[in-house]
Amino acid sequence: MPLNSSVRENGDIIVTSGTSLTIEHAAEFSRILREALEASGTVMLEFEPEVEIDITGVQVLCSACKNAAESGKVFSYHGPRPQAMTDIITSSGAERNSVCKHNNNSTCIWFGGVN
Amino acid sequence: MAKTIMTADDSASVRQMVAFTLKQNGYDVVEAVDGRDALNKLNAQKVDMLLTDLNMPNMDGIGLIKGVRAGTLNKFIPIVMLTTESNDTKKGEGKAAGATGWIVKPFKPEQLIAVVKKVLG
Amino acid sequence: MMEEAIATYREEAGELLAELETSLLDLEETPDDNDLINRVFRAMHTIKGSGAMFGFDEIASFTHEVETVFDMVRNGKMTVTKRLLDLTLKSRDHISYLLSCPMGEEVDRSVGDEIIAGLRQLVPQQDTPQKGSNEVPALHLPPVSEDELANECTWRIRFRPAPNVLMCGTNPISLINELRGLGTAHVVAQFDEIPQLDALVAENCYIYWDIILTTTRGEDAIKDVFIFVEDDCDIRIELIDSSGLIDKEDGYKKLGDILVERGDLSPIEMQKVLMLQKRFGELLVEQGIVSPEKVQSALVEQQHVKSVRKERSEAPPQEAAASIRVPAERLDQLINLVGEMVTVQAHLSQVSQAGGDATFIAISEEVERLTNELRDTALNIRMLPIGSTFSKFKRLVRDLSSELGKEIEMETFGAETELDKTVIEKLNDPLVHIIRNCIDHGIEMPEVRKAAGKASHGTVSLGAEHSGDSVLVTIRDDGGGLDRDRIRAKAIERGLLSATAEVPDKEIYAQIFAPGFSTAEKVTSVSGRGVGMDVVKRGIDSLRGSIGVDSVRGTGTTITLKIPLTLAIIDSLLVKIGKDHFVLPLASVEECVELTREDIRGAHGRNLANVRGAIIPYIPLREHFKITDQRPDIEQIVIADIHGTKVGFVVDHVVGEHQTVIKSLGKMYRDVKGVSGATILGDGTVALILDMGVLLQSIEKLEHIGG
Repeated sequence: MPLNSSVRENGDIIVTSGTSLTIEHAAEFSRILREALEASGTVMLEFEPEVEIDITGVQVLCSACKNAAESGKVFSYHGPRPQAMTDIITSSGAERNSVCKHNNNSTCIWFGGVN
Repeated sequence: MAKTIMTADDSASVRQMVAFTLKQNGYDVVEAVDGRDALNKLNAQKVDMLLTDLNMPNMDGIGLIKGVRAGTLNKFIPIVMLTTESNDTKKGEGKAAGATGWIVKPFKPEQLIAVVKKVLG
Repeated sequence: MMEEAIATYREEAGELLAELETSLLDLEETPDDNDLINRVFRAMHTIKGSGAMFGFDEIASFTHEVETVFDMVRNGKMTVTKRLLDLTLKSRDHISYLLSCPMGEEVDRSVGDEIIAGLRQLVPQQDTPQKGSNEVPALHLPPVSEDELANECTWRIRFRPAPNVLMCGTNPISLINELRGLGTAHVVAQFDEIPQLDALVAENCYIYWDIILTTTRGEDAIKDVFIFVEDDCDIRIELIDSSGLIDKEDGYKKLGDILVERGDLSPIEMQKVLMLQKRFGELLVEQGIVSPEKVQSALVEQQHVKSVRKERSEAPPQEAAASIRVPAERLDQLINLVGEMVTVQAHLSQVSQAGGDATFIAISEEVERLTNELRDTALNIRMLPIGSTFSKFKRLVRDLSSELGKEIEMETFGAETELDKTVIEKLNDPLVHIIRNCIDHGIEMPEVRKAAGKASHGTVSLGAEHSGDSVLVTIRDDGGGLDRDRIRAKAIERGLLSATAEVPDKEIYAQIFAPGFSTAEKVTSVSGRGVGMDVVKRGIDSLRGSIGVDSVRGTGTTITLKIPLTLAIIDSLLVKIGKDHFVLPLASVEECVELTREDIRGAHGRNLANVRGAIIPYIPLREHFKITDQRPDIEQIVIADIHGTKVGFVVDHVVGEHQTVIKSLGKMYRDVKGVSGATILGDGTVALILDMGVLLQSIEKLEHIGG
């Protein structure tokens, strides 16, 4: 599924990652998530297994998570974490095992322990 | 998959040397003879990196860098300028236009590869 | 392929020169035309830049001069004159000439120098190019740190990229990976500056990094990683730990101190939190003073340095940094003192045993153990790899072989084999003589070798290997081998061998070490005068070593030197004849058996003993040293293996193993045969160290003459 969003009957919004969450698509990814979080209380991301992710992708996820936390909404993902996500967490030193104050002092669901 | 690198230089000998060195190290190479030629090709083909001379007829290196950063297909690729030692101001100009790094002419093949590897990661 | 590019460069430069000529001629008409001036400058610039790239250094440096002048014209510091144009046209012709010269060949610089001198005269005085500016600028070399061998250091790096780095094609992760390549790194990405979506410019970089890196490469190597981004990124590099530092404690700084150092926490805040007596990091987060990421990052640093320090304290001290230079004489002094110590310790053991006091004996045994350890350690300090001498011989082989018109290669092996420093020094002369001999007499002339179906170049191989408490140094050549019959004839002629005796080959070959012995018909500058090989013999004898020769006619000669590891202290067997003590080097001793009166009678006056069926000749030392007092009923034979020959030495008593500190005998005793030195026993008496090899030879000689 290309990078896009769709609304379920219960009002949840599903955002599909497409194959590339890199700098070329960062602005669009950011826009789609912003609009989704404005429109719905629950936004779920579905990763393509073969998705590519770079630093900008990581930043958009973190940014969206801060939005959701502040407005008390749910921002999470379905299914397994793609390989690219594991890779970039390791290579960029993004791993988070402690609580995040921007996420209402909950643990980080996006960049939690790789292992 | 082999990464594709464009070399833009009006000097055929430098292009040949760069292309030969890159191919030897497993990269695919696209050649462009000046800034205009390079920009035309970059609007039509996705590449992974651009190596550009600064002194070129029909749009110089700075113009090319600006053109690439203002385009779409290859907007965010790493761009390495081939500069000469007397060109510190040009280096700054190139950086401001959006260049990623530089290599000082004259350079040896292994220096070229070191910079390419550094920039392509 | 590269040749193709060079050919293209020649072509291109040719075209540029043609263009240059046109521009210069046009410039003569319109000297103020900036466009033309720029064209001239650019042509020169391109010729220079590419020239250096393809190895036309002469062109590059010459063109640089001309370009410099035109740069001034371009910047209005000089005007175009007839003289300038003349010189520039001449330059064009000179470049054309340089271009036509085959690469790598010497070129005629005189014309170029003249032109450059002329051009410099045109330059206004204050703008005379600085000395050195005519050098081709240094190549932009890849980062190589000059202190590669420096201590292992741990660095705290905070890398805060400019917002636009990602848009400019920089991937911070590749830079971080480059840092990882320098050593051991812990990386923590900081997310606290990532804004919410509405404020997010998705292509900007908000993440910054804390990196703790342990590396032996210096700070410059770290800076080089950031070379393309250092101007527009915030990069802080701080040294936080070094193996050169004496660690105050095994652990590392407290969390609060790290955060204060990093500027993430103020000292006042730290004091406040410390008052609360809870886990510091938790408190900081709880109170919202420092973000959990920053605390985590500081904890990573704490953990990293702690583990580096732990590794360091556990690691064996074998790094380059862990060695110090000490004057050799201090080591010699140490060995001497250890020698004295060993002697005193032997005395102490003797006295304590005699006294029978259990506590005293226990102490004495402890001293013995420590002394042995001290001795081994001290001797080890003087051990050096033999390889340092090997390299000298490579040069010798190279020089001598070319002098003699021979083609000789040298191979070495076992260069890392360690020997006592003094031994290595004393080995030098013997090795020089042996190798000279190999080159001169051993290896044949190339044509002779070819005729014999061998490779035209000969090989001399020099190697060392351990063998028990000795080192075997082997010198092997693949030359013509020794001429057994000729050596034999010569030895008989000189009375060294009896004409009738059947002698094993090894013994015949050994004759080459006799003084003045040479079979060479002509004397060369290298060898043949018959001096030399006896020097080898003497040298090796003085090292208490032995020489073995093996040779096959037509295929080569192998000379093996067996050298004891150290000269200072040896393990030996202490024996007694009458009231006198003697010492036999334990390395050669195989066993001790009894010799009774019946045995002697049974041998019918010949000095032969039957040891489990084997007949072994023996030397009655009592007779040899003319010791006349009462002979005991039962004597002992110490059986030794000397260069493959088993021989017995008859003594009164075998006292036991002994640590022998070797003292050399004075010059007066130099000609005494069969004694290689002396040692002082625990009670202060002197024991002579027997040279078993020499004793054996002297007996053999007597027998030859007698027989």
